[in-house]
Amino acid sequence: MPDTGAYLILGLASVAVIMGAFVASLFVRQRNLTRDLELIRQLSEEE
Amino acid sequence: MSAVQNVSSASTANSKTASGIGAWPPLLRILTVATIIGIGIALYMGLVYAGTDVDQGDVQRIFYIHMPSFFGAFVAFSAAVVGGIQYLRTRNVKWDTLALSGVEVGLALSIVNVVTGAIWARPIWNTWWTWDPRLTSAAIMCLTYAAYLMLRNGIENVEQRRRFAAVYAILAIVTVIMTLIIIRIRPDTIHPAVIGPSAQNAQGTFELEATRGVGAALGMNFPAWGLLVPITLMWHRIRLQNRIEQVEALKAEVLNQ
Repeated sequence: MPDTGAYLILGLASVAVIMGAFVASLFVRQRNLTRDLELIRQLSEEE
Repeated sequence: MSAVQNVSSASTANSKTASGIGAWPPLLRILTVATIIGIGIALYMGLVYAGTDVDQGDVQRIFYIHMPSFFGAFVAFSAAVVGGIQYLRTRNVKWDTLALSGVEVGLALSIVNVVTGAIWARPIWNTWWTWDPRLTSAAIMCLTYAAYLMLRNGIENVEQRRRFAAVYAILAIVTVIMTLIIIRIRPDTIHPAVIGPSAQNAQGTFELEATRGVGAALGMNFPAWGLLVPITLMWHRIRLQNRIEQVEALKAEVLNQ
């Protein structure tokens, strides 16, 4: 039986990175929206 | 209602609905937990329960994610087609949001499919990449949907952007169908078919019955990667897009005061 375990680990790591990056992008965009909303709130209060 | 009141209520709504797991709708919470548990069980089935392939060794286990992730991408891209058709029929923004979410999630799962395939190919085909018909069509599919996101962002007129995106999402499904059937219609492909007969030149085939637990592992990974992951991620992406639209509208309202 060939020893191909290292490629399996590489494959699993790549899946974790790709899906992790997508989920992280959702969180980052959500955080940026919250900041935008806060900025808009400040601007509208100043006017 | 004044812009200040709108911003204030949106800010409250945002903090109530957007941030924190506790603020998600109950069904989304259940679905998210089910997805995490489902992925955990699917990984256990693929990595522990299923036996090791005698010819390929442990790398064959990548298949349990490789194939279901393509199915998940297919589900998400199909949702984009539904969103595109329905948007053109009704001009309701929610369908455009569904299409956008489907493309983003489908693209992420397609990239998983292509990358895991390349990693499997290195020890089995002795190369990371070859311009085989299946690999080429999968690459074209990924690039087509990446182009959707770039082109969409390049159109400033909102109505025009949504109309263009709807037509594009409908037409782009051709690349998915082509990727799906190409191993059945091109005899020169070396990509194996797990379900049904492989092409004569196929390298790296394996029988479902040859190794213990392959069918059970596949049976768990398919619903996890093919249904739970795309549906849950699309729902989260739709919620995010709805909030983006709300904030954009508020920005315009404040700036126009």
